[in-house]
Amino acid sequence: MTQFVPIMHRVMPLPVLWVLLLVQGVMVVPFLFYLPPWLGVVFVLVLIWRWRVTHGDMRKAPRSLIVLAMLVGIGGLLLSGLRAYNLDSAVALCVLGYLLKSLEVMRRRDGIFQAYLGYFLTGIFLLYNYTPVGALVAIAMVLANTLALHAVTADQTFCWKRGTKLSLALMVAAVPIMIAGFLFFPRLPPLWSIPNDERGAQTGMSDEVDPGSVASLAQSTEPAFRVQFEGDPPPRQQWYWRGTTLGEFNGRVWRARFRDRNRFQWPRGQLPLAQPGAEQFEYSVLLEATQQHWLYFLDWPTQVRGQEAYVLPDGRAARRNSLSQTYRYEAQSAASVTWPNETALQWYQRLPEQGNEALRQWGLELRQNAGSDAAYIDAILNHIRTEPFRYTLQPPQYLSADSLSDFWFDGRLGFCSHYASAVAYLARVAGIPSRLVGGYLGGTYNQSGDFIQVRQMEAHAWVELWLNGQWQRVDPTAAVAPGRIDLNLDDWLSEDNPSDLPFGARFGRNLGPFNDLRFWWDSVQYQWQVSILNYQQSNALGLLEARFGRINPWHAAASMAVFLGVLGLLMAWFTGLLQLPRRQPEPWASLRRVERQYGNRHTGETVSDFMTRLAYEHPGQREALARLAQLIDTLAYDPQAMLDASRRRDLKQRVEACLK
Amino acid sequence: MRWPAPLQRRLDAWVSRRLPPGRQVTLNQSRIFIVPTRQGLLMLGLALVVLLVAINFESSLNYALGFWLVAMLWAAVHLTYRNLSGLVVQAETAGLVEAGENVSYSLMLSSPRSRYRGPLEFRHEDWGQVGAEMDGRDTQVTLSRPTSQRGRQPLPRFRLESRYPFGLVVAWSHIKMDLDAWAYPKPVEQRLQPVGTEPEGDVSNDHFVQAGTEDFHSLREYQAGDSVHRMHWPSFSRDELVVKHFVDYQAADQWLDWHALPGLAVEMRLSALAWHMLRCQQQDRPFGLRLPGYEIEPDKGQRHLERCRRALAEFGELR
Repeated sequence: MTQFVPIMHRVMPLPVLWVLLLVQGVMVVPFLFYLPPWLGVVFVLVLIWRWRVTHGDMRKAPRSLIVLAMLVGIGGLLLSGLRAYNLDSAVALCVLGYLLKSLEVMRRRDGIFQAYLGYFLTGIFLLYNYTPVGALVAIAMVLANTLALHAVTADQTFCWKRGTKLSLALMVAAVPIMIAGFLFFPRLPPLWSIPNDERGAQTGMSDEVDPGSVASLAQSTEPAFRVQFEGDPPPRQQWYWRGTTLGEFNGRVWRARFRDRNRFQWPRGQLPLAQPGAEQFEYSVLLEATQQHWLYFLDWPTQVRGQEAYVLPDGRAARRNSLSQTYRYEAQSAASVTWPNETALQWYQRLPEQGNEALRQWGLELRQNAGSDAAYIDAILNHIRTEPFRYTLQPPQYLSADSLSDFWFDGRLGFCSHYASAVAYLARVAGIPSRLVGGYLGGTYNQSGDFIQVRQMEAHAWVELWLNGQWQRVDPTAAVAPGRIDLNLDDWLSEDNPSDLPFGARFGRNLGPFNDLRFWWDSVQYQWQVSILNYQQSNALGLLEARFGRINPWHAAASMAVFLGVLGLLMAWFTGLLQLPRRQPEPWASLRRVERQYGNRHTGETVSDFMTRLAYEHPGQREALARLAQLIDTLAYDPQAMLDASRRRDLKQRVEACLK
Repeated sequence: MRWPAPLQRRLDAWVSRRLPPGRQVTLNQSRIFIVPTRQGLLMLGLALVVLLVAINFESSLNYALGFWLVAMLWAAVHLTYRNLSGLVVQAETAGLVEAGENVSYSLMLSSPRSRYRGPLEFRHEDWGQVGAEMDGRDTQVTLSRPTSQRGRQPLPRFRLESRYPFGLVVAWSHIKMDLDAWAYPKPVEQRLQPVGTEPEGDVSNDHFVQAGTEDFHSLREYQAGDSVHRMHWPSFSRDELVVKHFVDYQAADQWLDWHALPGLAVEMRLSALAWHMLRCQQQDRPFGLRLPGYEIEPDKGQRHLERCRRALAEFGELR
C-alpha cells in the first residue's frame, strides 16, 4: 500500500501562509482597542517570526520565542490589572492563545484551527462592539476567516481573486438562512449565569459620587441612553433623568444605600413605592451598556417593565445583574407623586462627626435667622445667587478634610455636584433629611427618530429634601447657572465659556450639515439597537401570525422545508448546476412541432429529405409541406431574416397549415 | 474508513452494481456522493458554540453569526458538488510494461461547459493520491500503479474526490473505468531446445532473406515499377530489359517457439521467450513468435518487439 501524507498533515505553501498572516492581522487589530496594549507587543513578536516563515524559513518556532511571547503576554495582562477572573481577562487569554498558536501554523490542520478560532473570536468581538460599525468589522472578520479556510483547502492552486470571489459567494449564499435563523430562532434565557461578565469600563453614574467624578463624566459626548415617549414628552425643563440616589455622606463622598457591593441584600417583594399623581408619562428607554445596575428614569419613577428590573424604595430602579450590553425597558413616571411612609428618614439626616466645621457653623447660624426650613433653603440658594459663585467644568480639586468648607468659602468654583453636595450637607446640618440624586439633565430631541438622546455630557447631580412630608427636588445649579437648566451643557457653555468644553464637543458645533449627519447617525444607531440588538423572536412570529393565523409545528416544518427547497433550487441555478430548458430558436422550434405530429427525423436526414418523405407519406399535405420546407430552408441559412416579423408570421401560418 | 470485512464486501458489491464501469463515465447525481467532512462537522460544532455564546450573553449579533456559519456549511455543499457535477471521465490509453514495473493509465477529464473545478484528487491505495487541477474544458491525468504479475492490469476502481473550495464537505465518486494495461513476463534466461518441425541444414545457411539495397545479388527481368537507376545498361544494348537485384544479408530467422521450452511451467516459458526476444532485439536479429494457436511472423524493430510482448502478456486470456 502506498503511503501518502494525510490531507490534514500537508504543509501549506507560502502564499497560503501569507493569507493566514493577513487574516491574523485582521482578527487581532480590532481587539487591541478593547484589550491591554500588551497584546500588541506579542502581536509584533509573532509578526516578526511569521515574516520569516513566509519568506521560506519553515522551522518550528524556538522554545525561547514561545516562552518570551507567553511571558510578555501574561505579564502584560497582569500589569494591565486583569487579575480577576472575568470576561475581559478570559478574552485576553483567548486572543493571546490565538497569537501564540499562529507561531506554529505550518500544516493544514493548524491553518483550519486558526480559521475556526478566528470565527469564534469574531463572535467574542461582537460582545464588545455591537454597533453597526462593529457589525461591519465582524463581517470583514468572517470574510477573512472564510478566505483563510479557502486558501488552506485550495493549497497550491490558491489565487487571490478567485478565493475572494468564492468566499464572498459563500457568505452571500448563506445570508437567507442566516436571516431566517435570526428571525425565528427562539431567544432563550441564558442557560447558566456568566460570572463576572464585565466588558470594558464602567460608565454613567456610579453608586458613589465624589464631586469631581460628575465633572469627568461631562467630558464625554458618548450617548448614555435614548428615550422614546408614548405621546408627547414633558417640557424640556422637566427632563431630569434620575439614576442613583445617594444618601450616605462621609465628608467627601456620597454613597447610595443599595450598592453594587450589597446587591444581594436589596429588598425584595412588595415595596413601598410612590403613588403617581395625575400627570403620567409612558416611555421606553434604551440604555447603553454601563457595566452597572442603575436604570434611568424621568423624575419620578412609578413603574418599570423590563427583564429583571425593579424599583427600589429610594426612588430609583435597578437590575441585579450589571448591564453588559444595551438594555431596553419600559417605564412610567409621574410629574408628581405622593410618597409612602419613608422609613429611613433618620438615615438621611446622618452626618460625619467631624470636618467642614466652618460650614456647619455657618449653616446653623443661617437656620436660626431663617425661621423655617423652607426659608432656610431659600436663603442658601439666595446666597449662591448673590455671592460670586461660578459654575465650571474645571473646578479646583478640594482635597482637604474640609472640602465643602473650602468650596463654600474660598474656591466658589464648582460643578453641579459641588453645589448639590454643599446644599445637601447644609440641609442635614439643620436636621432636614436630604439626599443627592445622580443622573442626567436635558438631552437632544432627534426629529427623524422621534427619540430623546441623552449623552454622558448631560450628567448632573441635584438635591432632594424631605419637606412637608414629601421629597422635593431642589437644584442649586439653577441658582448659580440658570441657563444650564434650559440648555444642554455644551450649548450653555459654548455661549458662556467655550474653553471649558472638551475638544470633541467643540468641534463642528456650528456646521449645519455635520449636525444633520450626526442626527442621522444617532437615529440609525437607535434603529439598529431597537430592531437588531433588542430583537425578540416573537416580533417576526407575531407578524406572521397576525397575517396567517396561529402557526403550529407542522406549518413551521412545512414552511421550513419549502424555504430550504426554494433556496436550494436558487442556489443550484446560480452555481450552474441547474439549467432551465432553453427555448429552441426558430425555425427549429417550428420543425420540432412538425416532428411531434409526424414522427421524428431519422439520423442523418436533412430537412428537405424529411419533408419529401412526409409529403410522400401524407399526400394530402404535400403542398403545405413543400411550402414549409422551402421557408425553413431559407430561414435556416439566413438568421437575419428571422428578425422580420412578417416572416415569423408566415412561418407560423405555414406550420399550422401542415398540422391541420 | 474500513468496515468489517463482510460489510465491506457487500458495500463493494453495491458500489460496483450502482456504478458500473465504462469507457466513459459522466458524473451526475446518481454517481456523486457528498457528505460533510470532519472539518465541516467541526464547523457545525463551532456554530453551536457561537449560538451558546449568543444565548448566554444575550448577544443578538451572535445569533446571526451562528446561523451564518451553519448556512455557510449548507452553501458549501452546492459549491463542492459543482466541482464534480457534469464531469466526464474518459479512458484513453494504458501502458505495456514488464511485470514488476509501474504501469500508467491515462484518462481524459472533460466537461461540456468550461468551468473551474479546482483541484481534484484521484485516490487509490496503489498510487496514493494524484491531483489534477481542472480549469477549462479538459485536462489529462496519468495514474500509475505497480504491477506484480504478468497479464491483464485493469485500472482498479478508484475514488475521485473534491473538497474544494472550503474543505467543509467532500464530494466523491467511485469510478471503474474499462481500461486495461498489460504486463509482459519478466525475462529469464533459459536454453531453447531444437524443435522437430523446424527445417534444418541449408535453409539455415541462407542468410539473405529479403530484398535490400546493400549487396548486388543477381540480375532479373524488368518489371513495371522498377527504378531506372537499377537498370542494367549493358543488357539494354542487347535489347534485354534487365535490372540489378540487391539484397540485405541477415542472420537466419529465429523462431521463438513455445514448444522449444519443454518441461517448464507456463509462466517460466513465457519469461524465457521474453528473454530471447530481448536478446534478438539487442543483436538486431529478426525473430518470430510461435505460441499455441498464435503466431507472429519473423520481423524486427521496436514495434515488432512490442507486439510480441503484448502477445506474451495476453497469453492465456480469451481472445
